[in-house]
Amino acid sequence: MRFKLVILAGILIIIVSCQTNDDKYVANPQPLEILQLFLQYLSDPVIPASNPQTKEGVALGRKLFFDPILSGNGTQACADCHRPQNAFSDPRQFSVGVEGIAGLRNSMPLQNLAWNFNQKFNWDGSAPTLEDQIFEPVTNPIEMNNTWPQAEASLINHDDYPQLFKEAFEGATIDSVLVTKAIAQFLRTLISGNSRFDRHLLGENILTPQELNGINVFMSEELGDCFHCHGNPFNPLWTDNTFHNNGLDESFTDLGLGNVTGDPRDNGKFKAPSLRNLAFTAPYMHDGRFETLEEVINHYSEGLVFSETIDPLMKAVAQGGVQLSEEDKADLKAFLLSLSDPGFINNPDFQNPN
Amino acid sequence: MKKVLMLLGIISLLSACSSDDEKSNNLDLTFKLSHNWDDQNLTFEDFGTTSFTNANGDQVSLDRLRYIISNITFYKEDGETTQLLGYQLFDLSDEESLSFTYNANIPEGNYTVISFTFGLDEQFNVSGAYADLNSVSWNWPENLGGGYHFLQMDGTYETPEGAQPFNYHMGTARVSQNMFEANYRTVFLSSNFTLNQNKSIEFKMNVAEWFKNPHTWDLNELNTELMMNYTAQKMMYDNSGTVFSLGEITTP
Repeated sequence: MRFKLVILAGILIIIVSCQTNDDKYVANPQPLEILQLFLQYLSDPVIPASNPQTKEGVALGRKLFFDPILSGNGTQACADCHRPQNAFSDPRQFSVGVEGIAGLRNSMPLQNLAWNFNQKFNWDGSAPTLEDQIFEPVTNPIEMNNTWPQAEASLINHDDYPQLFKEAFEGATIDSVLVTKAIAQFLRTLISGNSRFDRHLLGENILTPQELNGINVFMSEELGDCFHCHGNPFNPLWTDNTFHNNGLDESFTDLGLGNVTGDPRDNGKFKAPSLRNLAFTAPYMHDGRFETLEEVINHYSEGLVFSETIDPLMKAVAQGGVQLSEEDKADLKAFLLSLSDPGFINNPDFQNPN
Repeated sequence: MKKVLMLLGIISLLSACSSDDEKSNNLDLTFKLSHNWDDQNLTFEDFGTTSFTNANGDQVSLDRLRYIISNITFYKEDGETTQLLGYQLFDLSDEESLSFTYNANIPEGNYTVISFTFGLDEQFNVSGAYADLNSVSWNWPENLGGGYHFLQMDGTYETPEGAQPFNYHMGTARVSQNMFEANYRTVFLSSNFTLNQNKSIEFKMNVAEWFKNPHTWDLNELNTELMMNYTAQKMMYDNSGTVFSLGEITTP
């Protein structure tokens, strides 16, 4: 009886709210669904007040993300270099733009972007916000090679987009800012946090002895010492979201963060990527130089090289690395793969809607 | 106000010890951390560029310096104390983190001592308890007793074979497997001052002292993998005693 009353009250509220909303349309708020582990351990996600999440905005952003309409010759969508099956990264070492020209860095996975607390996006931190990041590829000549006026015109002349923008942004005229807002809203919904290791943290007894030893290798300063840069069970992002020189090269062809800040102390520093979904995001490193996780682990174990700005956390550089045993390497890899989340890459809400 | 986060859920003690005839005020107390290497001023500008000589005679260069202090406490000359519950993580690469303001309910009067916890004391050093610290991976591994780092000082020292890294990280000390020893330090700083209006209070860290007193720190022996080294952790504790001093107390 009480239950029915509640339903009745709910219906009444819906009716009332429909009536009061008649005069002014507002898009429907759709707050991020924050996973328990994130809620428990992490600071609040970063969502700009100027771009709240809405149902219509997210849907529009998703459509735009998968639509080649933003590219200069109409052949390439964001999703072509940020593929769902690769945790929104690119299996190619370097993505190739609409003119057939390859880039210089490996496409970054797109996951848990609302928890990038210092708000410096890209391998080199060049984009101060997610919305800013989205401006860049559309006009980059070796990426989508378009102009914003042309991209805007394509959208304005499209059968569906004018109405979709109207619904998402309450009647505002289509422009580049709204495009980046919509895509950013969609990207913020790309939350990954249901890997086997997450379920282990939530109390499911599912990890193998090998994976459990792997987390021990990861968390031990005298073994892998991975946790100073790549998170820990209380930082379920599995990154510190900052920039490090991890001992890849003696000299740099790509200055990374240093090229953005102009500070030579930042030369050769790149963002520490999350270790989530490594099963889907090969190749690895900012330049995609390693095809396998074995190569990555071998780099930290034996392959470090010294340069002026190398992070002192790469402590065993004089010996080439932390010198893991073959067994510890295999266990570490097994643990790392337990952070992969097939439900993320197969989430129907994240697939091409067009 | 900066991240003087209330230690949510754990607390409820505090204050309630004011006598009836005195006045308590809500004062904005601003705390500023400044740093030096003996008589040289030290800022992030020196990181990776300035070479310092430590007590052992080694040339040292810094790349990263972060640490946490908590529960700043004021002692009146009549013995009454007021504790400001909370913590602040200082990161020399982030100028904004080096000062914060605490709106404190604190009795007016003459004070003689300020203390704070370097690190987090056992009651507050709870694994995973603080979202902002987790978010910057400030955690201390569970197999070393868990909780959080107190100090992370990374840099290099010169050897005949070139610059070698050091990771001077302080936190809970592991006595043996599954036996741990809290390793925080309560720092007491004396000064005579009056609180009756908003104040700015400077704490100074002499980074050279981490390598000097009482233990002359030999980076050639103790450089990396110090987190699980009980002796090194206790030496850090010992050396932390002379690191801090009270700077200026001013009226903003």
